[in-house]
Amino acid sequence: MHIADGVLGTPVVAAAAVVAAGTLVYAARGMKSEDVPRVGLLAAAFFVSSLFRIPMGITSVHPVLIGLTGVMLGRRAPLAIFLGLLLQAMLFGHGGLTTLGVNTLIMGLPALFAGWAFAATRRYPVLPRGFMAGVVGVIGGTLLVVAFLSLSSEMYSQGPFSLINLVLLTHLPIVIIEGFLTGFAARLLYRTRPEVLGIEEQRRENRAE
Amino acid sequence: MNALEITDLHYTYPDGTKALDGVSLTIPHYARTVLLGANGSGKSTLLLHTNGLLPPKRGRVQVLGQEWAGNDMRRLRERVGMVFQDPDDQLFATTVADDVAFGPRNLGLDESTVQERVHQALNELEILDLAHRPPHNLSLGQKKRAAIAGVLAMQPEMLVLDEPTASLDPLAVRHLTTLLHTLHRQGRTIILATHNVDFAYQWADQVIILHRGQVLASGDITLLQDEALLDKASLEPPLLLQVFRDTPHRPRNTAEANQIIRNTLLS
Amino acid sequence: MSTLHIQQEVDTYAGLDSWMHRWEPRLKIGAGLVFVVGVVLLQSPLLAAVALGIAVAAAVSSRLPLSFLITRWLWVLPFLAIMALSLSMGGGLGASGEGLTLAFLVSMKALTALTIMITLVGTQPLSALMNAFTQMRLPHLPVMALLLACRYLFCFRDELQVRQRAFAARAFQPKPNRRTVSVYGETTASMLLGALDRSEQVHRAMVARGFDGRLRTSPPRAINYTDLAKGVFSVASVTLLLLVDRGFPI
Repeated sequence: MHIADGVLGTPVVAAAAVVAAGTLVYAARGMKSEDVPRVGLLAAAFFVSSLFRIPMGITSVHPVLIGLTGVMLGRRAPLAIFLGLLLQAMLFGHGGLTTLGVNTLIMGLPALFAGWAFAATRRYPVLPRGFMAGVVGVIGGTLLVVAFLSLSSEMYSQGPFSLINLVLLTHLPIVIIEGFLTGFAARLLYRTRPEVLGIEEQRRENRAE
Repeated sequence: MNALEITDLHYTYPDGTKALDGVSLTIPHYARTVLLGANGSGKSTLLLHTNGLLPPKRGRVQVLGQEWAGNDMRRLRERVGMVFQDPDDQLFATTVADDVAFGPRNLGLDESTVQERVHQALNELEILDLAHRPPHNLSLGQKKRAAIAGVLAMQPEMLVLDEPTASLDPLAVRHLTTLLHTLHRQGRTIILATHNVDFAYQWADQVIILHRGQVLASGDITLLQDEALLDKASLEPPLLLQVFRDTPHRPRNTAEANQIIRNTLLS
Repeated sequence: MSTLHIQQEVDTYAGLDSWMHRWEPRLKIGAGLVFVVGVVLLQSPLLAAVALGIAVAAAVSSRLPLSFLITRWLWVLPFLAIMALSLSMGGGLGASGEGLTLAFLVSMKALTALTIMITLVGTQPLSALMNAFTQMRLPHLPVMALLLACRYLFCFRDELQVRQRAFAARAFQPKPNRRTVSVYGETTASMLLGALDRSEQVHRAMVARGFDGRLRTSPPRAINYTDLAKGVFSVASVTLLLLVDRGFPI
């Protein structure tokens, strides 16, 4: 879920870079030395885990793990996502350089929201909460992609086979898969190590501010 | 003055696991000590206390003659080097040389001293040729050496190793044994946690047997002849002692065992 | 899983010798970034094509084989093709010239940026690139996290391969069904737990060697006039493109 260099208009890219920088400052604030390996290793693990491919017709889809990142990393999620995107751009040339800010927002903001929503629904069973976090993450990301595209050029939304319609169509199966996958993952985490679901962590951090 | 003195140490992990349950032990200077115990006996947790990585919650830990806290901690970590079980946990930098330089840099040494230390440590472990390789494509034996080099570059007077023989192939274990002898001869106290009784039997001066967070026994290697004791600690006697169970002289190593066999056959 | 193998190619051409390989990494990153930003600002498809020409020339003169570039391009080409198709036929009323022009412009920019990126990353060892980040005036902790992410990415990649082989060995075939998603979901969770546990150990091992949250790095290589000249040259070339693009008579 990312946009390459050159696709978006300059004002959009510039504005996104500024907002993304602010988001990253928020994500990195109050970081302690023990957070460094946690963020770094989880960024790497999330990145690798998203390489699981599920065949679908002639193509295949892979999870994006936006919601799960938010659930496990809380406010640090955008930072981990930014690191993952930077590595992805450097190692494979996926994503983009000038669109790093855009892409950080596309995944980072829904991750923050999903993490918050997961924590806020603490009283409900974990499977549907995980499902919700996964769904919210992908839908949020997709909507942001659409928003960035339509802000950049009217041509991206013209006609039944417009780029935006294609984006919406191809992300539909991912929403479902991501929802279930995040639900199952969250359930396993909850059963084995409930403390890693970030709830306590976030509560403690919020109080510290 | 002892290298390590622990009195009534307790430690419980946040999830409620009681890892140490009233451990007291003394390790003299320049000893070759093995902490022997099955998985989950508390060895690793104990070792983490020798380097200040876990502060004693209850009990006392004296390392190199004093208790350490606060700003002195860096001095402690300079004097006590800790080698972790999985070298992948320790080798975090993108090249071996950078990783080995990490400790000396943290000590605030100037760049030429840092480079000198790196060269020396890599040379000592015979891995100068690996200096610029990324750690992820080294063999496990090479990784282990690189991890030890990273600790030696800080020039510690005491060396603590957690399961150093785990998953090493026999040749790598032999190299490690030689290395440990050399490091000991240079005047270092060496503490090593393992469940490898054979290795302990051939290498150690002092053996401390841990079981469920408690010291079951402490003494020299004759402890390893006590089958009942080992059984209680969920350990097996060393292979050499199993084979030469009833001979009047118990061989310490294969050379001695050969000698016994030759004498028996010739008489 | 071809994504996984690509990573191993990262250092393939790092040991060669060329003007790019000799360029001081920090300046090289900076100049590359400026160049890409400049190219993204172009409005003329023709000039964007010229920029791609410059980027390819830079890559080829750094002795990166064309075949290497093309294999990397193959990753974005399908996406660009779909975009071109959508922009030109999206209205359903035959090809629109305007849409095609936009698609061409975007493709040129995307390929230029990708080519510059490949050249930047491919002309020194990954470790040297990471070191360059530590030597820039960036906040310590995030840079350290980047370093760790880069190192353990390879560790987890190997772990993923082992797990996938274990699945295959037990005749598991991924299908778009509940079972596959639950297997992958739980595997993801256990990989994340593994990463979390490892991060705790990594932190301990770092503290054991005196880490206190400060990043201490090797001194950077001194920047010489040749490095500067290369920087000036690349910034000048993109500035020239931009001037022509905005209609300044040259």
